[in-house]
Amino acid sequence: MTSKQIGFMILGTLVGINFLTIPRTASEWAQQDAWIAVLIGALLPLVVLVLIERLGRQFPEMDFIQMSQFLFGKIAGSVLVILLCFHMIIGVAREIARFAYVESTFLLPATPIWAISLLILLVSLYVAGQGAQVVARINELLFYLYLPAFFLIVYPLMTVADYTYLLPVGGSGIGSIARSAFDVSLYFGRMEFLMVAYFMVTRKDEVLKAGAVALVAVAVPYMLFTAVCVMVFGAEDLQDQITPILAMFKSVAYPILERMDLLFMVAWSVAFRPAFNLLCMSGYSLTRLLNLQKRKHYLMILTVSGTAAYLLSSIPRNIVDVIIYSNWQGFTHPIVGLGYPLLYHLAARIRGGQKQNV
Amino acid sequence: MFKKISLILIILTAITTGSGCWDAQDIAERSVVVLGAVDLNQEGGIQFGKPVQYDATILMPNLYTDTAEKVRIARVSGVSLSGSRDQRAYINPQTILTSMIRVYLFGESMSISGLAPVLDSLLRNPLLSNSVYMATTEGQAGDMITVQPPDFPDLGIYIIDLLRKVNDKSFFPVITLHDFRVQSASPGKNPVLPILRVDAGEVKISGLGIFRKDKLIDRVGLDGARPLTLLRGVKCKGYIPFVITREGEEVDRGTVFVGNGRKVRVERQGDQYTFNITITLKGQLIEHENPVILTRNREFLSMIEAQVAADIESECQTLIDTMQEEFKVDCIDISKYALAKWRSELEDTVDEGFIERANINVDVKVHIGNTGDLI
Repeated sequence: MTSKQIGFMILGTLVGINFLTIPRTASEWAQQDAWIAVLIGALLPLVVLVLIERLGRQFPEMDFIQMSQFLFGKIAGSVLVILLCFHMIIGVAREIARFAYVESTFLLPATPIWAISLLILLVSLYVAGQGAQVVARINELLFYLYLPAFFLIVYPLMTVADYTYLLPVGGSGIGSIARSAFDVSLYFGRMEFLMVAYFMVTRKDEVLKAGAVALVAVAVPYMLFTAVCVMVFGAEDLQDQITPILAMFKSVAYPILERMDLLFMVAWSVAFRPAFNLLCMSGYSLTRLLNLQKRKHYLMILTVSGTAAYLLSSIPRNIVDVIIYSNWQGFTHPIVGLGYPLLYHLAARIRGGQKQNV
Repeated sequence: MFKKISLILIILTAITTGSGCWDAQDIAERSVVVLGAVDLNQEGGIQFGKPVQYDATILMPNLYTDTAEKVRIARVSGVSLSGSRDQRAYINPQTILTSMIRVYLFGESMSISGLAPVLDSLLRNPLLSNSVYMATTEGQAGDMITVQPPDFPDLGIYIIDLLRKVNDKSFFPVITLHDFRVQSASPGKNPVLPILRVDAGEVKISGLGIFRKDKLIDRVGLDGARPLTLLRGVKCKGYIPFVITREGEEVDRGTVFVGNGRKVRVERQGDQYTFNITITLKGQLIEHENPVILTRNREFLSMIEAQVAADIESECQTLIDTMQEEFKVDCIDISKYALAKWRSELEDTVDEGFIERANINVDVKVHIGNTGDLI
């Protein structure tokens, strides 16, 4: 795929159901400075991007599986690949579960969660089954389709927002901002998919720039929407709400269309990009690891991964469980996102040192 | 072949599940509700072994053309607000469409006891818009719903239009569920609600209810509603009549139609906070009885502006004194400016005794730009 497509994949992987919930997390400790916490939290994926890009530069002719086995040996390398794939499958499960519950709350309250999850899974499997290039193109297409939706914040900003809720800037204290920034950084997780996707890019020298642009394109809307939500509700009131973005749209009657929250949710129903992005990456990795033929076995591997994700997504019994498990799972993102590239860098350095000694 | 079969299966599943098999309902089986009223139950009673607490009354326009009644009013009681819907199953053959509700009325006793418990039911419902209008009533809200306006399709539409458009014709705020929720939950803020009453068979706005968070504590009449709205900085347009007297004699009488704005500056000296509120009124002169040609007596327009400014300043100062001495809550939404500067210090104490101790000064500036067709 091209560097531009990887940029859209980064954007698509980072912006899923998180988009609807981030203002609550960001304002929990940082209060009026939630928007600052979002900006600081966005530094984590940037660090992960740089680490992975620098790592990939050292092995331009390899892919992730080859690099893992080269650096750690066949068995340990394979274990690391499997662990990353499992981590991505859990990420898919998390996304499916959260999407299903939000869909159930706003659009389909009588439809069983398993049916909504199945629908999300089947669509994700179909998209992922088309291959990385098609997945990347779909990410690009969805980005342009969703772009007008970001202008929806203008109306609440003009009608019900109160700028005093954002003041005094920095008043919540560095400690509180840092704590919220850490919580927000978990929302910016899933960059670790680049460990696989980087090696699919033809012009690898452009990945850093494309990735940085994508991160800005993620961080700025997150920051703006967080700021507007704080201005509309105040930091205290945000803590009650599962999806503050939808609540913000629900709080004003838009001219002509009135219920923008429902329309937005209908449009957002196809925004489970992280699910098919991660499914594609894990499916590709497992196919390569098992030395299977892509044409014959990729779909089968995807089906197995997807089924595992679906079963995992059925574990939470209710939305409270979904939020709690989600928060726990979020902690694995910085561990894997930073841990993997750092570990690989260390291994590369050791290997490079050993070669020199020889 | 496998791909084609998979695709067909996916499409079939999507059509089956995504079209709302479980959720689909015929619109003909739905009751459209535009107006809801909530009261504290006065009669008592037990349901499922628990004391009945609330009465919920809804007004449904009758969509059947061949029935005598234009509306259907249904009242049920329940242990909780949402719990009362259980009783609707026994009296209403259709399913209530709550997403169409546009206004909620709360009875006087309900408002005094506190609206927070029932607000949870409203806010938790994802189908109910938070832009529904809110008002409180004199007496029981459920009794008001039985009034039928003679020249409107039904009371629901009448009240919706009454509340929605009042701020274009008078200095009176429009309060939605979102406004009430945010103002009752945020430190330093307290909501107000329009008060409705029945007068000679008509529903009218009679004043503004002052709330301490979610509990009604006092009220102002229509005369007090104007300075309260101006001090709150709610953007409205309205008519302000004036009478100019000089040495005990009436010199002029007329009306201006203006829109308002507000700026608040807050200063602090130790624990003493001083708020300087500047209210600006801009608009046009729409009548005055003195035949003076304003271009020949250029000071006359300034006199009108000064009179209107003085009148409004006096009203506002009276309201501020009442607020500090009687209401003892910030009903004019100025504490937020102090919080904007000293949030960490004031957050925990701003709702206790803060507004009573503050110095509040009001300055009104009036600018009449147009005088209509006459000069």
